[in-house]
Amino acid sequence: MFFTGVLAQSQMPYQLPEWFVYLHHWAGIDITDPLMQALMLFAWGAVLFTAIAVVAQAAVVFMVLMERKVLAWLTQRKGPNRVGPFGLLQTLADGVKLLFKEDIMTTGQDKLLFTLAPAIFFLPVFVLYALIPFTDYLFGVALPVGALFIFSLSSISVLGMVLAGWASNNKYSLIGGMRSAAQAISYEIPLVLAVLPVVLFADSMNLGVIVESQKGPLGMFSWYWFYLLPISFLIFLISSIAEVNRIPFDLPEAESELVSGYNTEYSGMKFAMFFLAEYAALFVMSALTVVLFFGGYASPLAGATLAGITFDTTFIQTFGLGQSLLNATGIPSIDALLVQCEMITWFLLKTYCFIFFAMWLRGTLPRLKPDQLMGFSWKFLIPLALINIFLVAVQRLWAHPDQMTLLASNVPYIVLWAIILVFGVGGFFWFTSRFFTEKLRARLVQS
Amino acid sequence: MTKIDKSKVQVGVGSSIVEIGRGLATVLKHFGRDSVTLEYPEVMPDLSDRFHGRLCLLTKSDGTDLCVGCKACARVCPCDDLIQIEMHRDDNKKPVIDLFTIDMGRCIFCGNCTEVCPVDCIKMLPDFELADYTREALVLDKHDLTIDGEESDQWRKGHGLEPHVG
Amino acid sequence: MDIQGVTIVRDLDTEDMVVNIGPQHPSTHGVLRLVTTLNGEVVKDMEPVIGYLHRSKEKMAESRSYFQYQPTIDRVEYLSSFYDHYAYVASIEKIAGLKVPKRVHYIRMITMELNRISSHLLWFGTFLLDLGASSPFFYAFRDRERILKLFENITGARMMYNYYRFGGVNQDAPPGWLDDVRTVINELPDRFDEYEAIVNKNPIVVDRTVGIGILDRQACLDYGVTGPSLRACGVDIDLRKANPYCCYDEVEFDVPTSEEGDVYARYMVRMEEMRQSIRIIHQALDNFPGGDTAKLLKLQKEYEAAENEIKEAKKRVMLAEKAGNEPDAADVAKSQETAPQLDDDWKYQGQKVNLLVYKPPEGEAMTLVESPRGILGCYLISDGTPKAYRVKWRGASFSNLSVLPPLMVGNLYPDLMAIFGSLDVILPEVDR
Repeated sequence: MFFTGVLAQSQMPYQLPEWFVYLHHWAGIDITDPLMQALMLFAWGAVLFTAIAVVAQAAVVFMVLMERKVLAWLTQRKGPNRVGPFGLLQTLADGVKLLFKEDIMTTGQDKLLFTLAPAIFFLPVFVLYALIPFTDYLFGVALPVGALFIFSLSSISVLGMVLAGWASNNKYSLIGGMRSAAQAISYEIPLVLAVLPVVLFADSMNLGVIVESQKGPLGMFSWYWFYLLPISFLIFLISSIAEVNRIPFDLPEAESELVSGYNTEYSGMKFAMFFLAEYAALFVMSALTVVLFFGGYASPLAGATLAGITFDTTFIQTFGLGQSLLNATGIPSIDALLVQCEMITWFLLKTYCFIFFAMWLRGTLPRLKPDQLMGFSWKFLIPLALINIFLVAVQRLWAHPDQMTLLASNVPYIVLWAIILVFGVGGFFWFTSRFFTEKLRARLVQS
Repeated sequence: MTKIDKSKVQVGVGSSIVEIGRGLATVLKHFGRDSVTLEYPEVMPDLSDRFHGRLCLLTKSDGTDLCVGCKACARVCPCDDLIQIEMHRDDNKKPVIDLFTIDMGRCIFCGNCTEVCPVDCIKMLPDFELADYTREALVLDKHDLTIDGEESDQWRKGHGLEPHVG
Repeated sequence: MDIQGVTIVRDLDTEDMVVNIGPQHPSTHGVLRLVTTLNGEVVKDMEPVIGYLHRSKEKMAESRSYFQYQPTIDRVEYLSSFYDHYAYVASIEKIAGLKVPKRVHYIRMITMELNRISSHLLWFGTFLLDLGASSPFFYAFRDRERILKLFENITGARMMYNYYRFGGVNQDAPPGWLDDVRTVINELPDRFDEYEAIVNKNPIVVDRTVGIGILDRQACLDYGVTGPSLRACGVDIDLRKANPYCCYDEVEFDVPTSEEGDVYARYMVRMEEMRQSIRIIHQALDNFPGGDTAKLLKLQKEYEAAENEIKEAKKRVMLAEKAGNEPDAADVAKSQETAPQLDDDWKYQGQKVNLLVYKPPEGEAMTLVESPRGILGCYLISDGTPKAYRVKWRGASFSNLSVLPPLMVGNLYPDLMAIFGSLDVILPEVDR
């Protein structure tokens, strides 16, 4: 099919739709020019990304309302129901209110960092939306190292929190910022360690390939969550909740201790950016859980897809609208469009299940203490994740005997590499520690 | 003397998951229950007859003044000068109230005044919507406080008192 | 310092951070300022600064008549003001020797125990909110709301009751109120089970509370800590048992204690106390003198009718005698009868007092009651005038708060919320 090969083509993250050919006729653009092709590719990527960003914003706006509604229902309340039908416009009204709020700056703040911090927090989270394969066609970019890139990006947003805590000139904010740094260091390690077994299973870090590799004859039981990688899944679930700072891991903004933590001093649109980014991060993390462990856009019932049902598409085709729309997006037929719709439905359904779970946890659990939080990660999750990786690696080797022989034939090289690694890394640390302590001492003597 | 046994609260990994699961299930149980929210402006709360709300002056069944101007209410009021009364007696030695103001902005709704009134005149209504835009508007005078004979009778009926005829 | 020939002038040291927690802070439950010295997240020193809510409640008593002062007592400890009223009213009753009907005692006992439950429920909700759990807060307030509705029905107010009077109560319980109470307290234990399913063995709660903020027995006695906090470290002092006031000697209940004295023990003691309160209320409802008010009113009407009949008969006999006629034999018989009277113990007001100018005789009295927070005392001196000579309050919160700094030093900053929350301090009572 048209898009089956797309994901495998790492050089070409997406294809240009067919109507780009017409640009030659309309605007006289030389489409054979490689520079022009690259430009058009970039332009089309921007269009796709904008579309995803708009969807992301809509999802966040919906999630804020959903959280308030779910928490209300869990506590026998009604939740927001004043603005719009069922309170649907409540978040919008709040957003507009925040837009018009005064942007308060207190004395003693580092103005540059104070302004920069929300952006640093906000941007990486929204870039992450580009990496998520909502369907096998709808995604911003199919990076071959997608899984790695996501975690490297999401760790940048922690910098925003630390900066916000520092620049606010507020002691609560400072403690919140420091806590967020400690928490991020503690929980990103198990998060990544929990993903490694998935990478081992899928033989790829491309998120699209990871999803495709989960499609199997058993439907939802051939996904990675249930018997293949339950420990990974649990570690990932816990760490992802910690990563997005939600109860029981919401220490950076623990409202009963730190008033509001790192965003205590923020108001107006800057606060809104923190707020939106938090929910966006929750969405991304839930989407990632789905992609890595719950088959992404795959249907939970093997083989029973909506595509098997014949839709009467003549209605759409008679108007001739459908086909031109499809031409515009590059999807070849109505049936393919329906398949896309089905995929995105499954994906969003699963994602919102995990979002609901996070909200449910928030309604139930109290908050951990920082020492417990870090102890839980370093003393429990990380060793567990390491053991899990080892077991999965052994299993993968077992499942592929040819690799075993490969391994056996390479033993001398492996030993050599191990020696080099040990001495190299050890020497590096020895050298740096000497170097830095001497430099440090020199500074201390000066002062 | 009940001793509370705490040996049962040792937490392991397995029991932790079970206990968190129990908590989650208990919280989820509330999902289907009816909400207890009262949507106030549309639905008024069901207040008891004894509710300490807005103060009012009851009248006789024919709508004439009941208050005799004894100032007992002013004397037991814990807020100084909250209730201000001026009265004189007419030719028939009947009391005539010249001034009766209550500053609802400072009232603490304790109900002391209602208790000492010898003629059951100053009473409280189950009405709590007293907000206004200025402090001056909260100083209610005799006209604002007085409720007519029919309402007074209704009040007395609700509180087991006889209608005040004559 | 000298390391490998390099002289270090200044070591890498850290500075302590002084954080002013409060006066406005989400978890200080009022207006308390805690000047806290933090080393990282470890509390090195803590000094509570109180007095932001001082309203000179004691001095106010000296310039107001007894009845005029009474509503202001509500504002001292607004979560369980029935106890303050009881202490005040009982002091006056002791000085004046007023006889209190038993029905009044039972109404007071039921309202006070309900108030204990409502106070503990609020404590439960806010304590868990301080720990970070949000749902129990709403559940606790949902159930507290039902108790407040009962209070509204009997006193007319939901928080500032002003209900007890010298030798009685303001009004009798409304008809059907006892059944309402029974409905509510029949449903509450199920709710408590639900709370405990969420909280009791939750690993996070257990980790945050067990072994944290351990109060030892001697420290409790030194600082004057009372109430559940004292009982949680094994001291079995409950004034309802040790020195029964009201009618507490007529009901059976247990005093929950625990040996550990940590935050978890205080939590467990309070949860158990609520169940014991329900036990007390059940017994009080069963033995309620006079029964439901509707029945009592009907009885009163019958007695009044009988009395009227006798009066009529007497009148007829007198008229007949005046006219020189032989009175009707039935009338004579009737006029000899005495009308049945309501039992004194069935009244809601003993001896009627004129509240406007009430003057107890000269004397002084001290009443101690077991409030939800500990021992609450009211010391009252009367000089025979309509105004008290002196009223002294002993609030449990003040002593309970004073133990916070020694408990906190060396603990982590987040433990402050668990420890301070578990002491159940209410700031208006501290400052008065």
